Amino acid sequence: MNCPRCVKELAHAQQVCGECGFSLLDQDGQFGADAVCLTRVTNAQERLTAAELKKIEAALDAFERAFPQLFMGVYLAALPNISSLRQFAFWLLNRAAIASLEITRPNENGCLLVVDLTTGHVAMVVGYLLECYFTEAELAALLEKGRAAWTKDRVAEGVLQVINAFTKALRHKSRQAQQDPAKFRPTPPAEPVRPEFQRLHQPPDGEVAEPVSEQETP
Amino acid sequence: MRACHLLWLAGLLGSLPAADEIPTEGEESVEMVGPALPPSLPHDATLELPEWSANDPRQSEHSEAPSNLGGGLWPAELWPLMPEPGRLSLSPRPNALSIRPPLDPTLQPLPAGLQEVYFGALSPEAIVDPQGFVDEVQQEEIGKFFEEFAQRQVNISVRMLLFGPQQQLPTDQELQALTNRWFPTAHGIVVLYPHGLPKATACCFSSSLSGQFSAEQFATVREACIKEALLGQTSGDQLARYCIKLAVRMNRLKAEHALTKTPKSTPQPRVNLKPWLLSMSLVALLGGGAYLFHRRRASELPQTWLFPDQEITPRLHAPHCGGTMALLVTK
Repeated sequence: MNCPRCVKELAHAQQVCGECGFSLLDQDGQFGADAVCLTRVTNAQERLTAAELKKIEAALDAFERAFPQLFMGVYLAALPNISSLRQFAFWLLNRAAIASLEITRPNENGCLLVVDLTTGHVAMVVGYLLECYFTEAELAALLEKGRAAWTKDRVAEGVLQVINAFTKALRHKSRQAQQDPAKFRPTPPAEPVRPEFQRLHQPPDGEVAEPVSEQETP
Repeated sequence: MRACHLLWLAGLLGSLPAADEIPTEGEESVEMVGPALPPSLPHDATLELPEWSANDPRQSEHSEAPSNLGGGLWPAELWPLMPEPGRLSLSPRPNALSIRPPLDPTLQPLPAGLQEVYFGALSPEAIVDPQGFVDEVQQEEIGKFFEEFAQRQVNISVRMLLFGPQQQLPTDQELQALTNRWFPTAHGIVVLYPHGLPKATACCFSSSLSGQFSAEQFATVREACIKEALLGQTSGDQLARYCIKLAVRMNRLKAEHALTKTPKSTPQPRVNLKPWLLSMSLVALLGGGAYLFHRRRASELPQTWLFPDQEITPRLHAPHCGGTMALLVTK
């Protein structure tokens, strides 16, 4: 797992990025800390036709039938005012409240596909439950399934292809997890020590203070 | 002159063999297959005409054949179908398997001391002759004949109970019951033979034989034996002819029965491929259909995939997502 801002590796349960000091609080200051009510497919600029929307909804229904614990959301919008789609996607999955979902499908069990129609960037973010099953490289490979369609500006087709690829990958991971659960158990790496970050948080002169711990005890 | 001519014609007809007595295919080697006939038996087939004499009243009473039929050129099987005019018998014919000579008040009963010898335990000898009607040599020769052709070859035991010509079966004895007692499961024949009177012979077959052969076949055997015995000149000769005919007839009957029953009793193991292939094809078709149905059903049913629950440790102050993501730049 990497920091959404600096893409540096994060330690397990690290509350602030040791490299750049990033946390969700920074994003809350930009977009707000309240929950954002969303539908499962957000079609803000009416980019999708009704038929395309119906197809995507059907694919998401099949996804939820196949994976009773999980959900997948699609957010299509033109986002001219955001600086980083990664940070926005990270914030959105943490603050989104999808009304149509059951309580058995919390956000940490979800996956959000965010398509910036302005820039053409696509981000795919997963919750805590799935992060031990997918590396960022594997998620990038899944996004590559829709590259051809998105390049040709066929947004719905790219979304469907990613949903299908993600479904197939999840089946494979679930089968592996049933056979060998220990393989996907989260193993926290050693917390990296960043002397530069410690220096940045040094107290004023004369004060002797404890160094700032980046990790909270669980 | 005319009377002499008629006598000559009657003698010529009498010397001719009856239709039933013409050797058939199985019988034509009676003398060849058997051991040497006893010296007391006639070897010459040419027989002299018996002297004209009045019929024995006992014989005519025991015989149901009309006086105008049943001999000479007439087949023996014909006379029961042609009743003699004016002599229709209203009494029913005795059952072929329960032959019991009718009691005759003129006949004498068996001596009381001999009844145990006759009707006691099964005698090891084929000829039961406690009164000594035949000599021991003839008894032994006939016994050997029965042992070879009846007992050894076709497994049929024969017991000849020799009575005197004026003796009859006691009232408390029945020949069929005696046969069943002596041969409850085995093949056996019990013959009540009044010495010198072959026509008055009673012949009973065991129940095992009755299950294999019909009453008509037994009746044919009886008739043939009686006719063969009547060819004999002396009482010993008649007895020998009767026994030989009985053994040969039963031997041939049993052999024919074995030939006809052998394919049924020991059927050759034969693999009938058509039903086998049909059943295997049906099983394969059903199995394939069930497999395809199961696959289609499984593909139609929503299959669920689960992930084991894990303890979640938030980071970056984020409650749901720790920042695992990928970014794709398409433009």
